[in-house]
Amino acid sequence: MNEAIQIAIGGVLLGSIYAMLALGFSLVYRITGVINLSQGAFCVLAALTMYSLNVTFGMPLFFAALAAIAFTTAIGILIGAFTFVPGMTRLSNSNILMLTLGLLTMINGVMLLIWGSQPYSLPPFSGEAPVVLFGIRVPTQGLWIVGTTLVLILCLWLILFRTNLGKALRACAENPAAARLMGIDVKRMTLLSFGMSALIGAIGGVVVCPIISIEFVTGQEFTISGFIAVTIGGLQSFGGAILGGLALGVLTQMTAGYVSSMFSNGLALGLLLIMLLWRPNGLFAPALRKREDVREAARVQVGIVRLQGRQGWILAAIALLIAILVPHIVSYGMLSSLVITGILFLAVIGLDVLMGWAGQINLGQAGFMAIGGYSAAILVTRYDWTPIPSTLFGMALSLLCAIVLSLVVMRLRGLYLALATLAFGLMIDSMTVGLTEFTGGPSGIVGIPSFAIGSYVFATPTQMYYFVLALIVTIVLLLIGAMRSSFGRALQAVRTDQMAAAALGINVPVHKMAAFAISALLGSLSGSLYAFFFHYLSPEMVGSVRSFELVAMLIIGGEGTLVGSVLGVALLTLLPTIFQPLAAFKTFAEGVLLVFSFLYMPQGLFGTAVIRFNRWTHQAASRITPSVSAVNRGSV
Amino acid sequence: MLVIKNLTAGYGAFPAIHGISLKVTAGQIVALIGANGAGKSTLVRALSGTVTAMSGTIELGGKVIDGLTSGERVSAGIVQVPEGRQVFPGLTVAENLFLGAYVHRKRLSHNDLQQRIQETCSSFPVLFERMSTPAGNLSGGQQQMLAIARGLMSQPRLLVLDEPSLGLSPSLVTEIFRLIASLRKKGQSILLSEQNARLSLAVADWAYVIENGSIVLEGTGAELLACPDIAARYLGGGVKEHTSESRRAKLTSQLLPLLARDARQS
Repeated sequence: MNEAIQIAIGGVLLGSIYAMLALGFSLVYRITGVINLSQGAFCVLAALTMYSLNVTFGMPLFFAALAAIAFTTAIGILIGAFTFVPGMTRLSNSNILMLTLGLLTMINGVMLLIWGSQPYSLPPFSGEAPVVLFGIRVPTQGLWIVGTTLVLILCLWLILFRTNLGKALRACAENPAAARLMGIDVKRMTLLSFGMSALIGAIGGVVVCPIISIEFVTGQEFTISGFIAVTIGGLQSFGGAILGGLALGVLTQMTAGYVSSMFSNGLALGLLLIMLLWRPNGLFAPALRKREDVREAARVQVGIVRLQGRQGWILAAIALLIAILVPHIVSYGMLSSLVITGILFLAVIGLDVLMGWAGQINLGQAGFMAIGGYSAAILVTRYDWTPIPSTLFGMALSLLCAIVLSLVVMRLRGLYLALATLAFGLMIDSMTVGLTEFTGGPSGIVGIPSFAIGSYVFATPTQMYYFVLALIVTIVLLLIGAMRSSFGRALQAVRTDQMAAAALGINVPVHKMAAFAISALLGSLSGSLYAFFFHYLSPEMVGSVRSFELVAMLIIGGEGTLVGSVLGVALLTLLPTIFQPLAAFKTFAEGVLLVFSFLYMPQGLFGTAVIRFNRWTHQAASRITPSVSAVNRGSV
Repeated sequence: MLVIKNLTAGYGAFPAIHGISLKVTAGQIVALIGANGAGKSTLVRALSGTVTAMSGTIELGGKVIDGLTSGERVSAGIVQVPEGRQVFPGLTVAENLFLGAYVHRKRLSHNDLQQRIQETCSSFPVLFERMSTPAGNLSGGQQQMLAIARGLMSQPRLLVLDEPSLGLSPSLVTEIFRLIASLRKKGQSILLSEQNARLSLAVADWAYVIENGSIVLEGTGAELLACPDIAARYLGGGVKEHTSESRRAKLTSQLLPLLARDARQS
């Protein structure tokens, strides 16, 4: 009994942190309609800043805490002013979500550069000796955590419901255009909410640092836990956010205490999926719901960019020729990186069909890579299957998962779909780490042979390079055909306006499912090839961080272009190889590029290049023949 | 009081109104009538600063306001009640009203605000009973009342009403126009942008007809009502519009005696 109470107390402490984070999510969501995924990073930033101030610069703990909170909030406001606020007027809701994902990656990258990847922890604020209350031992830091949470909740409630500022903030959430007519500065309110969520995150990070060791990636875990908590409770309700946080904390601690910590992760994610299906608005849904499927005109996505007619094919032929010649020019190490680029590109093409063409967010693409990779690796090493059947088995399994998942998430859109795919990816993560007897756990599977067709083995990078290239060319040609057919047009209709598409007789669920299936198949194929090429597979190679990376690659390269994302993949894969000393900057660069692409280059590298090229050829053509009115046949 | 000179405004590089000049005299209702897409909304938005003017000037009480932000314009005394009501649905009626006086938040104490709500809502008794109801739960007519009351909370020198009759049932439309007439009696200057030409002209002291982004005609409400050109274009008269015309004529015939009765009572 006593043990149960101790565990429950641990759960409440952890839950308080989740509740704080959930409050931050709820706050930003209610004011801007956006989930701010970067929130967890501010927790960690504050905790690490406090550590440095306290340990390196010898500041007393209490002042270090205050300074860290102030510093983090200031950074938050700066980041918000230059990214989040301008993004709000330019981007669609789902792209803003990805922008905050980019911010999370960017801040993580900075922290990796400054503090490295080792964990940090600090002493409790009021000594190590626990307080005994009614015979139950409570760590003093726990009292700090619970107290801070209570004070924070009270302050937020007072601000939002008892001040003019709060009314103005809520008015922005309800109707930004009307709020502007009342003389409310909507931009300032958006920035304020972002700053406040950074502040809440910072406070949470500072008080929790003594009981949880903090490292740069902890931010992601915080974000995910807060996210789950707020979904369980309800995005629109502070009470719900708090209860969701506490429930999640107690539940995960209980299962971790009595069953296993691997199971507790799975349980949390299962809970999230159930909540998303059963009550997508959370336990405490407001009477008046926000519509998720409407977008303001200014924030609709841009159209799909293409090269025109024959030029597209000529340029594609030139590109292919270069690709065929490349292995004879570059070094051995470089060639390996090129093979990896090609393999990852396969997964990104799939993601492009789903995100760029059908407009559905998928934050769990690496989950399918994991299914493909582990199926292949396990079947080949343990059951002596040959590579091709094991790859096909992985693809079949992925297809099955994709169909089940898309049936499950069919009703969900935008934000909730993003959440569900994220949960899927994380669930696969916890399985690859947790099912040790199958997957080898964190240390992974070694001794995977090279890919082979019959007796022909693709042993060298050059062989593998040409194999992957052939695969890519075939798949891209097939998909170009598919996307130029009525299927591709239907996908675009679904992307632009689901309701209008349905009204035109397009079977929206079937098209979404088809896009999802294509995406999963390619992800799985990519995962299998990845395993065969590395001869080794570990969970972090195909984990959720990889999912985020794939999304970043797609956005940087250019959504809805099929081939354009290769630029993004190449940039993020090859640069660390070319400039070895800069490899540490990879995470940071990924975040910065993602944010930059969203704000200044929404068509990505490829899209921007194509627009320039089209304008240039158009000008050149009109100089020769003044009236060019040829029908622009789309290609590539 | 409001003087617009040569105003051109629009979206992107394309002007939707071209060189519009108009005047609103203090204490009057000035109506702006025109068909869908004629440029009424653009003009109204240019007044509130949600669309930026390309050229021309807007003066309110002798002060040029066209460089100001939306918020500064509200402070200067020009408030727009937007088309389609646009109340804050999740906030209570009282909170909506408080936000109407947002620009004066530093000057007004809580008691001042309460008092101002009392004053403002004397014209909207229906709102009193529903002060703590979320605005989204009100009926369309009540939401329109709330939107107008919210606009009045800052005690503007000029109230700009954009399509106040939009989407309301005929009896509610009459009610809203009666209300507009009663506000004028209290000395409120109003710029009324409406598609319902007949009712607008019935309550207006002066009216402008806007077509393809330019003002084509102006005059007193009564003059324009009598003008055959207007009758043909905006008050119906063609065979197709026969039914809606007769309905409008009926509505106006209901409104005029009500207005006369209101006049006698005050």
